[in-house]
Amino acid sequence: MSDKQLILVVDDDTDLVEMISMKLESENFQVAKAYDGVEAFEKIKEEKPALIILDVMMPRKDGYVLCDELKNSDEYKDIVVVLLTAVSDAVSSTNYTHMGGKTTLADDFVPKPIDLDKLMEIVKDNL
Amino acid sequence: MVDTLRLGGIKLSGELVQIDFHESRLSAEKFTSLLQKVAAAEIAIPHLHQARGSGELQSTLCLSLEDFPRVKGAVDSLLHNSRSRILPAVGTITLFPHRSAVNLFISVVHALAGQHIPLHGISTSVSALVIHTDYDLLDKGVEAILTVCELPENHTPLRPVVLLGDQAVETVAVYWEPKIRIYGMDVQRGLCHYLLHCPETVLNHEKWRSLGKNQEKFRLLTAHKEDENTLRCNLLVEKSWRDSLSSDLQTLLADEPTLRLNCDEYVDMVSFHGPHFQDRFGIAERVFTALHEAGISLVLSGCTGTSVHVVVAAGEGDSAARCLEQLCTIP
Repeated sequence: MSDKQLILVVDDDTDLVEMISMKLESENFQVAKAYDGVEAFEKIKEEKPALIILDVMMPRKDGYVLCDELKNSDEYKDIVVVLLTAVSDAVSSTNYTHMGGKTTLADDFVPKPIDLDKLMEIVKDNL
Repeated sequence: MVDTLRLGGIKLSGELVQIDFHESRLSAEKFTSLLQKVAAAEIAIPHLHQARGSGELQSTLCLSLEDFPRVKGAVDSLLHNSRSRILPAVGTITLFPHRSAVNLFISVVHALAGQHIPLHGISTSVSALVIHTDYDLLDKGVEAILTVCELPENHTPLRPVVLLGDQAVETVAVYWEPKIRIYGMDVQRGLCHYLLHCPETVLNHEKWRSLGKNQEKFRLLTAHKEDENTLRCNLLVEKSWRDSLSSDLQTLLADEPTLRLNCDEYVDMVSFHGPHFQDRFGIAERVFTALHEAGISLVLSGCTGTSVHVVVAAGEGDSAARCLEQLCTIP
């Protein structure tokens, strides 16, 4: 069994999942991937990651809901959750929701577009 | 028994209009001008790939069915010959992650050709292999692909709906930024560029599977329809794969006189990625305009998903990156 720490990367932007995964692997982490909240929860049950990098806006189950479920669960509350928050302030012609004022139980959050080096620092600081 | 390839997911697009230009008279300037009109109409380009060769610029552009009428006049004015065409009902099947595996491409082309599902083009992003076909054949295409690939049990839906709480929300993020915010820029130098002209039926042959036998990785893969029956495939690979790939291709070519291959070009590739690129307008226009104004000629380009790849002559990658860095910011 690998002694590398397992990080689950969850985002419906498949290119971003790939880029974050490549960066994590280059930093000697083991990586699992999921592309929406439902799939992510299945992966969490199967693989028990140490940390989850979790997008907010996703099909089937959004990141806020999944984060709340994990943090309110005795079994999963210790998994570190880093939320990726989306959306430029420049967005005007869309109802892409900011969820202004929403509090979350996440351990940390990172605004998009992310600086991958900064994200690695946050991951390491939280493990 | 065929070994299936593991995918993370498949996504199907909405209905698109695909424009294929095969024009010796379509200069970079005219193409850039078209992109400027598309950007001025605030229209996103979900897929764009372009290749130069044989004295002409081959370009494939996909726009949503709803957006296309607003720029149809500008497109029509650039269609000068019968080989250029507008395909009115195209859709894309996006497979992810491709893991840069050539055998995924080969297997999927096999599977689609076996079901007589037309292939209007192929493009790749950093994670995804995107197949362009008829919109009304998307589901049949997925069925064919799932004879050679498998999805995880709880895979994301083929046509995702984003929920926030219980509410379905719009995720198309239409916006423009004076500086394009990106995740980073990468230059890969001295890649080998293979250009393969092949009848689609040739690819539907078992022996092509041997190309992927050692899990070699591509750096970029695009395909245009050269004519009704021929695909023009552009494949970029690391130098380290060149010898064995050339040898394998020469073996295939010996049996297939209809194939043509050009593999003697070294190139550099500049890639960058950013949030919501597939929904945003004006990114391709700025990239193509900046490179054109800097006098940098493109050998090849591919913009799909959230990835932009521009391929230039060997030695020009750093100049192209410096030029594009002026447009971008890494927060």
